[in-house]
Amino acid sequence: MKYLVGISIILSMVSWYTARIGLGELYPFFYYKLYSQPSASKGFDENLRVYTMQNTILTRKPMEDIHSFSKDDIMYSLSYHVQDTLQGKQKLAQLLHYLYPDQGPYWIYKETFSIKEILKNAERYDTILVAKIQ
Amino acid sequence: MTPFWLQKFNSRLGLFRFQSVESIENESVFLNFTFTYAEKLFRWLVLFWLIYQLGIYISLSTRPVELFIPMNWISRLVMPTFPASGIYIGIVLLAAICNIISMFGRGNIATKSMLAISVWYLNILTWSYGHFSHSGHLFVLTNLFLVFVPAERKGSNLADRAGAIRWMYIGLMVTYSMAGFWKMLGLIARFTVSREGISWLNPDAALYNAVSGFRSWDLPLDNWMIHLFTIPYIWPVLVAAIFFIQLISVLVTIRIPLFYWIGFSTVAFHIFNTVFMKIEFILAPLILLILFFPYHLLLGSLYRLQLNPVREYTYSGNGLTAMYIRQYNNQKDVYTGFYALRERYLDEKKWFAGWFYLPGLSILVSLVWKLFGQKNKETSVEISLLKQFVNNQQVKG
Repeated sequence: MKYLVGISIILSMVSWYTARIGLGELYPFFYYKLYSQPSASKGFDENLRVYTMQNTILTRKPMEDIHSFSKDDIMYSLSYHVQDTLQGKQKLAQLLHYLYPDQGPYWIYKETFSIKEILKNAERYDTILVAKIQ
Repeated sequence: MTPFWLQKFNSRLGLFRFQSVESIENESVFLNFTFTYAEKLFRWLVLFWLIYQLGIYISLSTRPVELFIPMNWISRLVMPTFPASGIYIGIVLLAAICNIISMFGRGNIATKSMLAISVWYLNILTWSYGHFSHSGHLFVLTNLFLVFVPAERKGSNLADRAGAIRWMYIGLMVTYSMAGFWKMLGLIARFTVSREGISWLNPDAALYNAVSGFRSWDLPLDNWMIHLFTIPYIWPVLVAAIFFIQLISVLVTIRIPLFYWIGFSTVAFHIFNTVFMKIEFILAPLILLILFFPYHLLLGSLYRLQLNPVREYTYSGNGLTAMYIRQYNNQKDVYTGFYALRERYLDEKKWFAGWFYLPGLSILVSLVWKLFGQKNKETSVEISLLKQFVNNQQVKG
């Protein structure tokens, strides 16, 4: 048992090293580096949101659980596929058609905002177009 | 065993301790008692989790197959595509059978390994869609470590089982120490190499983190929550406290008086994060609650039956010259100096007693006593007498 705990700790450290040198995480238990700085520590934050055209008006899709996707699932999936330069667009199309069927085309915007401003007014954010998905 | 040089150093600070066999047995009883009930409840949790996985499977099977992406080489190896229902349900059933065998106290290394591997396999499905979450790790890790804690059987060695239990808790809680280590490193970095942005000790840090968490779910932060997060001074103190507790989590069964402090602080930490930060961990606090529930309070009479009773407690002297003796049926525990004080507080159930067991604290306090308190030259002489006494007791025992 002693040795198992030892191995577990060593693998976590190795995992940190392999992730650092770009080999991905070797050990499935991660190395437990979470929230080592507060979110939005620079006073600004950003989120990805989906927009669709409804009656010629570009409409923001609020974040909510849809089918088998929780809010976190949607959040992480969007950012994962947006970063994927090879197949990202194709995967995003499949994701968005599943989440919001028959509402295409879809626009993905990055919303950036100041923490202090958004506290006063939930509408005060800037948008940058990230992708348009057919 | 305390090394000789440390013993010598300690004796100059009036620090001496002798723990009797009966007292060591009582620690084993505590660990065994707590774990026996914890495991029973954990098995039920595993059963519900397995049933829940069937629901997850059905739900995820509605997703387009193209979105299924193995996230690392292990998942590519064992689950390259969305698993066929026969395989997945088969493994759920296998896991359920292995788990039920353990529920009846008949589990062995083979069945528990099969369960741990199955749980790990089933867990991969959820995390093959573009992101990993940490929230499932404690569950998989607990199943893994449980493989090596032998089932309680008649005539099985209490001390051996207690040893395995001790290491299991260390193995689980060291993950929190690692998390604490990174946070501490992040804090140091913020004041040295990467000064851009606020640190966790900034009064706004908790508020920023909460706003960010709520916004990511498109939820507004209620007014009362904003007020809560802007109470002055409290947040840096709470943040520092939880960093510290995370860092020392590995001490969980090394210093048993800290057991409940570490367990319940971590549960509170998860619940707070789930409610106020939208960092959702559901399974982890449930597991911790099961592992750290004070079963011995609920089933007090049953627990006391297994303990070696203490016949008499005597406390004499104070400061460096204090002495505390616990008289069992056969042997005595003897503690002197600061050790005597903290053992006495523990027995008197003082709420803060656990914190007196932080490593290094006894030396620190004793040094302060020695430097600023009354000088007492008899301390080390008394201790040498005590050693003689304990040696005699060991010979007799």
